[in-house]
Amino acid sequence: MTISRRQDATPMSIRPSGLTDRLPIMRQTYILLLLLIFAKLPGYSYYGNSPLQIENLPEEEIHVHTDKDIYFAGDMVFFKLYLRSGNARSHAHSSRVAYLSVNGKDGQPIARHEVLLNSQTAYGGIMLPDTLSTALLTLSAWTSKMLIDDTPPFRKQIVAVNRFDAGMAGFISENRPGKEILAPPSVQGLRTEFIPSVNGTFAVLLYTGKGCLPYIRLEKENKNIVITPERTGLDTSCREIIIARGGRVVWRENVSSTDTTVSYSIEPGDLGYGHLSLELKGQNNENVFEACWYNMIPATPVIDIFTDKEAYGQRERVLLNFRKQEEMTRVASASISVVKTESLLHNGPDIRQVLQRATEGCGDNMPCYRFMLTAEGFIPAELTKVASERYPELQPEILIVPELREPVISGRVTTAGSNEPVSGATIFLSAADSIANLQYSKTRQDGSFYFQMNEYYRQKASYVNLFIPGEEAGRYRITVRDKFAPLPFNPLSIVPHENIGNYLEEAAMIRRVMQAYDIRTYHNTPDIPGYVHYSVPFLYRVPTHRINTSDYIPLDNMTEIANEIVPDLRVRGRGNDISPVVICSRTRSYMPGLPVFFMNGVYVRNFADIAGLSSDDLAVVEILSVPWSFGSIRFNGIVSLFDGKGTEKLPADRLRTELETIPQLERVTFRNIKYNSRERNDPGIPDMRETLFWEPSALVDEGTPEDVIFYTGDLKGSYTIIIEGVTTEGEPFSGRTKISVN
Amino acid sequence: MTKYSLAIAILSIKLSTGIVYGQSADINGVIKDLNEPVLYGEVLNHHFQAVGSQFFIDGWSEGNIYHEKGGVSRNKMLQYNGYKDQLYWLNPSTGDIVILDKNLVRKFTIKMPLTADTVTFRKIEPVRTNNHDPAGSFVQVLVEDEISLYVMRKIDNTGERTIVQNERRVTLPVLEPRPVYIIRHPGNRYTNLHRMRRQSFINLFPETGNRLRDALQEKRNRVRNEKELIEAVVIANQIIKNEQ
Repeated sequence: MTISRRQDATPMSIRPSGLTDRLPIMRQTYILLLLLIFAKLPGYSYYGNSPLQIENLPEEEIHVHTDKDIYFAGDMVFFKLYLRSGNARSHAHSSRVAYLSVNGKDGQPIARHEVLLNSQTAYGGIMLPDTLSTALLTLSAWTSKMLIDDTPPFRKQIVAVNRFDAGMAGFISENRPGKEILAPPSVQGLRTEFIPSVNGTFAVLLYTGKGCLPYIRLEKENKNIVITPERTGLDTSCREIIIARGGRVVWRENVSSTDTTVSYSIEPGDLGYGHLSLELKGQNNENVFEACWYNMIPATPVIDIFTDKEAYGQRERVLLNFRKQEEMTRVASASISVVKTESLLHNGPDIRQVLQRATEGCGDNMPCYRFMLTAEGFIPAELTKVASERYPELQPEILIVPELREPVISGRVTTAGSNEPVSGATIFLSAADSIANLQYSKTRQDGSFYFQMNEYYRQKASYVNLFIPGEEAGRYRITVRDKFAPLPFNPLSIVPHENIGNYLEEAAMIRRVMQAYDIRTYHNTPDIPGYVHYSVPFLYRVPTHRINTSDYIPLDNMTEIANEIVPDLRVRGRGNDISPVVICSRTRSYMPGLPVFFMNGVYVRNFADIAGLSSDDLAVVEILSVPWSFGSIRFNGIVSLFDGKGTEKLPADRLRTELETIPQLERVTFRNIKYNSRERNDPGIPDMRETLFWEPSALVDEGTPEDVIFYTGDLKGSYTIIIEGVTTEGEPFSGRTKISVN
Repeated sequence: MTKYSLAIAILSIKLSTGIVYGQSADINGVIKDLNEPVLYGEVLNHHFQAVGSQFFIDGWSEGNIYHEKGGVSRNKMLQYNGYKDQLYWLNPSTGDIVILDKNLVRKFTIKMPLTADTVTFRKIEPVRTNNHDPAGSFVQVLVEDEISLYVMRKIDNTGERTIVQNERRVTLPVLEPRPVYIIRHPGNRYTNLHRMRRQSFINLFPETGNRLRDALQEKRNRVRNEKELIEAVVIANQIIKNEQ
């Protein structure tokens, strides 16, 4: 991935084709015909322009903005999730479901959420358990479509600190930049060194190995990059320094002068966003060295943040104003946070993009980048593409499908012994409820089954089961795909600053104060948009008969209940040899075969399992005493039993598999505080907020975020204002500025 | 030579991506299955004998079912029973005739045999049709505009006839179409047209006064049949729009 390699490459179109040159024309015709025949085979056919086909769905990426990067155990992580879906024709063509997971270094999930998107965004809170040990965590987010396309998940590293944790000091010392970061091994003969600066970023020294110019120093000073070539003053064999982007020179400077004091200032935006190379050319235009790096400062920054002042007093009003840098740019959605400046290396959206994009040009397990330029400054980064770390939870035997409307659960049916896939089997999905509900799926060739789970299933215990007679149940096994398998990670981008210890001490003190005064940073909200409308998967609407057992004398078992009080249901036989049958209410004749039973809305395989239920165990019995067609299934009568106790009591069934309830998002809203003049002068309860403001859904007027007002607290220090979001073109952006509270 | 090479290259790329296409086909199959709403209802296992047809169209016709909860079941074999106001679906999996649960259906279309026409039925509230089925009634859409015209393709029992069947005399009901025309006025007010007469039609629109009468007279429309009624509703709509 170097410029020189690209220059050397001969374009494919003009490269002579030795193979085809040698082929006689008849043979080529034959090959052509053969290929045409194959092209017509199933699997090679063209899929029409139907809107809901995988070929018509754009690639997706996720971006998540969290209110800050350092949290304490028990804190709420406020987040805004943005889905970017290429050239999606409409929201119907992009995923409606995203997955959020906070994992420890061992990959075990600490928090997991299934998130329904509304207009390609979602926001909420993730509560970090208060038992967490101090550690680096990773927040991952992905969609099923990203899994299908093998698009890497969004990943952001956050720090969780437990103030009671003895290991906090150890964590700090462990995560200080060590020799391996500050003086990494040479790559392709080029030695790099990083010198820590007070703001947590680094000056970069590139050792050329040439007498003419022993090293080049790169630094970010204010907004500009400063390049200082270290000249010897005598040797003029080094001609020029070039910065190239995509093979195109974006900056060049002659360095053959013997003046040893010259530095060059470059505006990062002039270089352009993305992959860059810094090359030193000799007098004969030969490459003395080439360093590969990455600029994360957009060529055209989207939004500038302006504050009415630079320094504020305690509990003072702050007015934020946003201005577009280019008239054509239009912000689609944005989130804004104002947090106490964390003594942590920049971990903004830019780095996260690099984690995804920078590795695209790397070979497997090959170091790709030496350093990056962030909004804060240069940081060391040696990103390596490690494909196996992307989605270890993929279970390739189960096809993953995009979730365009509702979450989809999938699984497989296999034989219990040989683990062979079972195709054509009927799988039922039903939720424990006071209505008879059913979805069914026929297993595919590979034994897989799929269900779309709408809002109806939320907060309900839901089960999948095979629709087969009881005696066959032991031969099969149902496996449901785990959507949140462990996601191990290698921490890359977080390097705590020297002052992290002080920062954490202060943060721990803040928590003690907030706990003492019982101050919460959020309040619970009743509902989240997008979770309201759903359809009930009725098995039937109106039963033929509905019997309240309390209207009758107590009966000891189902045989008595059926034969005495349930019209059209009879139980024949004695002892263990009993079988139910339904009389058709239309023809008044016995229907062939067994009726199907549901208990509290859930399919019951064996009548024997419920035969002992007395009328005290049941509140309502519904019977549908007609042959009933449900899709491709025919039921010879349906009997639904409800205990009316809300206990969701079900008879035992080895094959019945309960679906794991994926936690909902915390329905919380950040508590933005407003002060009037009286409160400002009468402190009363201390205001020790580290996050002064969090607005996940900033109002946007004609493509520009509207003005925002927030109030400072009692905590003095530096605060960072961050705006993140996406433009109408789907490009993420971020802007930041700082204020101080004295 | 170059053309051959190019064609081979293109086809090779196409074939090399064949696995992806194969997987796409599987994914598309699952997407289709997941978004295919399930049809359910009672299996018809009893038959009603009568003189005359119970059906809007004898025989099965292809059509689409638009579900109350939003999905569409396409290209299903359907039959509308006007005598019972029921929609029948021929279930290809079981061969059963299924009386579709009326609560399931918002509207359906049926392709008319021998023509390329498709007729649309929608479900309206029972109170609009004097029908006692709480789930509502199916009516054919003739005009849908500010003023809409629907017809309930009702088939009524108009008497009895005794016939010889298998050497036995059986008395069967006689069924005849008795369409009921329903007009939906702006503001969702419904009225029934009891007599197919121009004056009866004009009386339904007192607000248009003589303009409707003049327009119908000009078009020589006496509102004596369904075709003229449709034209009359179109004219009434034009008058209303001109007034707006």
